[in-house]
Amino acid sequence: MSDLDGTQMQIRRTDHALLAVRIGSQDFDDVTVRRAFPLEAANQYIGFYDTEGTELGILQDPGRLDAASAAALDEQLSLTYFLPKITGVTHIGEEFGVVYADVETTSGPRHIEIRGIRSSIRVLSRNRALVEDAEGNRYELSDFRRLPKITREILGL
Amino acid sequence: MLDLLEPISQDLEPHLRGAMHPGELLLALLSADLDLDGRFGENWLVLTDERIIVLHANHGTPRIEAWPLADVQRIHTRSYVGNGSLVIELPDGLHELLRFSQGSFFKFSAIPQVVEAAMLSPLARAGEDEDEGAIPHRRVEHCDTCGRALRVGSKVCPACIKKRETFWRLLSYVKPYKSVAIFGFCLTLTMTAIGMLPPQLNKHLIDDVIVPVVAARGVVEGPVVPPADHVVMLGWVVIGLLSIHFSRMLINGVRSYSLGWLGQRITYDLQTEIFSYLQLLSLSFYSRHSTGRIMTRVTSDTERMRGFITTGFQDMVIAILTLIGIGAMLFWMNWQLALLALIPTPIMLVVTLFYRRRIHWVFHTIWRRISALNSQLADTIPGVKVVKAFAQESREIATFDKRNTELRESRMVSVRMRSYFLPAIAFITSMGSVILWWFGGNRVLENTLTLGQLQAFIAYMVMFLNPVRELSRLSDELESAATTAERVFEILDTEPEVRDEPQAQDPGVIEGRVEFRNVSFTYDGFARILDRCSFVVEPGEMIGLVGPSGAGKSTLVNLISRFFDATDGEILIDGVPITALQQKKLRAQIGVVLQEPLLFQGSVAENISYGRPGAARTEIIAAARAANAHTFVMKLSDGYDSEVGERGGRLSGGERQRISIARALIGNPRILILDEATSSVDTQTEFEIQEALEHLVANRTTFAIAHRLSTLKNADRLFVLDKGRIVEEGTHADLLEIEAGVYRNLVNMQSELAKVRAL
Repeated sequence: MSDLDGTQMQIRRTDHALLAVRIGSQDFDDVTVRRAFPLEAANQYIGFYDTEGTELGILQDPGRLDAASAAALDEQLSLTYFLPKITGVTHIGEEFGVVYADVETTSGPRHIEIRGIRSSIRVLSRNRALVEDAEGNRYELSDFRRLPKITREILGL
Repeated sequence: MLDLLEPISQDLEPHLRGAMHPGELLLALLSADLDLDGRFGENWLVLTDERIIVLHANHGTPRIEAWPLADVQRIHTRSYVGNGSLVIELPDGLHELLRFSQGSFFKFSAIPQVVEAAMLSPLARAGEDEDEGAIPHRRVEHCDTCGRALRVGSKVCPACIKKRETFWRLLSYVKPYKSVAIFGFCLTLTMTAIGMLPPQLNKHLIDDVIVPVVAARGVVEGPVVPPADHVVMLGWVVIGLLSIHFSRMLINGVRSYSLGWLGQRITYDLQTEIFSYLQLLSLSFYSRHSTGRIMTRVTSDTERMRGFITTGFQDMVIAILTLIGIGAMLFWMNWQLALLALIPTPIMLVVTLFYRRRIHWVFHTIWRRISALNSQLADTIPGVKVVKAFAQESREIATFDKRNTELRESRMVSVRMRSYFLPAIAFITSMGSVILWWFGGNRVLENTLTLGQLQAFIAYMVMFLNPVRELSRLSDELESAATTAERVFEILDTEPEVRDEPQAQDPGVIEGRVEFRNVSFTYDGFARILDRCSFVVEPGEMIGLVGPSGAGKSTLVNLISRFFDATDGEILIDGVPITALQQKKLRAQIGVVLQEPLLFQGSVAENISYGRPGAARTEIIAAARAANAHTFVMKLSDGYDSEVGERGGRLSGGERQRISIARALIGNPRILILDEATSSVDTQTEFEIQEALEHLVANRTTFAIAHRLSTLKNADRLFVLDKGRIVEEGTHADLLEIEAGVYRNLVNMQSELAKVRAL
């Protein structure tokens, strides 16, 4: 377990949609990636794991990867982590403690129900919030200060 | 610190001198407040360099007993419940010398040490040197005015607290916002003054506009055309009335907003001040006060104080001013009628005074009972698992019900008192109007008073009732706010028991040498939890602390963290007394891992970096790796951004413990304290934590407490504690050599237990 040097790594996605990684002179097939800070530093500190689940290391700065590797890693991460961003709220209402909202997300429009804003909405840094709907799906609300005042009041933000 | 030589009364002094041989040196003189038969009495222990003398001073001429020190084989104190005794062993057996109540126990517990010293060295003169002869004791502070004992750590005497001072102190919170307060006050004043105009306008309306026309017209059937000039005058009066009501509405709106703003600022200041002060108070404060009570003071008590400071106080001043204003108006209009109308006022004042005295204690009771209810909530809600596990829900409900009933009953006392008092006050004051109707009505009939004047007079009389009623309501509020404020100020006046001396120095980066010199400690002034412990631990050494429960292990490490100050003796860090170092700077270099790791709500990363906010993510990961936490953290879907839940409830015990180890490690502490760090986890987790701890202890002075002795296999030395004393010291192998040693016994017991477990 150690910190990985991006300049010493090559990453590519295989034909079977797996991730193959070369670290130095060692090759690893079917590598899993995990973000150490998926909410606060999603594009830094990426953990690489072999098929046994053993950590190959943490890549602090993927910016040091070559462009093709960076693109492959990016694609793999976006498949691993599904967290649509709410880009707009078209309608919102509250009834008996449940918030109903029609939202626009980076993955398309969605109707969500939020039960208990205290436990379902978590404020993150940089005026962002993590919203969990009644089904357990999560959405990122970026810069909630831009929302209309009434929407923010309903969401308790 | 108290000198071993207590002042003796002038009556007894000659007897004391008479009892001593020429040249005999007095080492200690202590009073004991019980006779040997357990009754209160006055007895004195006189310790000299030659003898132990006891002076029984109770009845007439004091009776004196003496034993040569040379005959004393052993001397010790015995603790009973609520009292203790001093016992000596002589060649002919044991003798009970003195008995004393619990409060005197601690001073007598130092006597065996002094006697031993005197027997060993005739030159030991405990009484000569202030430091040498000083003994620790629990200091009971008394009020300078009335002499009553004060609560521990409190300088406030509840009996002598001056209402006026409390009141002014309450108002001092307005000071930073005095311009807003004055503005709000002026608006209130203006509103009240404007409110006094309508009766004057009405008087003008009746006497100058309506009555002259009606009187001149006589009795006429059907509608008539009114005189034009009177219609104009009527219009002006109506416009006047409209303007008055409209301006009152505007002023009231601005006033409500500014006072509301002021109130919120004051609540904010008060709550922040109390919470910040609570953070400064020593741990002993928290062990004396229940969480629920402290929470009540920060939340609802401050809210009540805000209500009084902002609106209550202003309303009171306005009510008083209105009373004076209307009173003056009444006297100006007709002093004879005014006198008659005010007849009930003295009665009302007496009733109010009586009511206020009584309601004060009712509020005290209500406040205590609310706190008791909150205490139970603070206990049972976090402990709900225990309640359910023991199926004690109904018992908890019954306890809550009992306390809630008590609260309801005491609130009902206040409801009952109010329901007598408020109507009675209303009745007494309305008597003024009744009197006015009779005498005023007669004057109108006699034509010595106009109808308009009577109407205005009665209108003012009705207005007079409002501030009177308001004042009776506000007297409740004043009492309630004063009681609440006393409680809140008591916290703010509590001095932290562990304080930085003004000249306390920054320790810099410490090496981690820890020395105890004859350190004793007591929580209650009665039992010595640590008893004259002395040792030196070199930087980087790992010390294992073992011993039965209650031996003083946790107390010892608490003293190193300076959660408490030693009652006696001295603790040195790198050769500097711990009391001469800045607490914060020292604690920042001490890492603590407790048996029950308490995590705060927030993410894993926030918890790890708790002791060093702003730590780089690389450092957080490094600390987690060293604590064997990284692997499990990376398996969580949000990694280091995962929420740990309230008190870390979303993680297992072992995971919480590893996070707490990472938290201790991130500050790169020079001294590490592991207080039963692995005792509440399973063997596999213990192995992992143990592995993590090995990273942790390297190059740091470590004190590790463990019941499982295997945990301490890497310790350089072990200190075995028993009844507050270090009874054995050495390596694991050294201690096993000691025949019938405490450590050897513990090891044997654990081996037996391991065999049983293996079966």
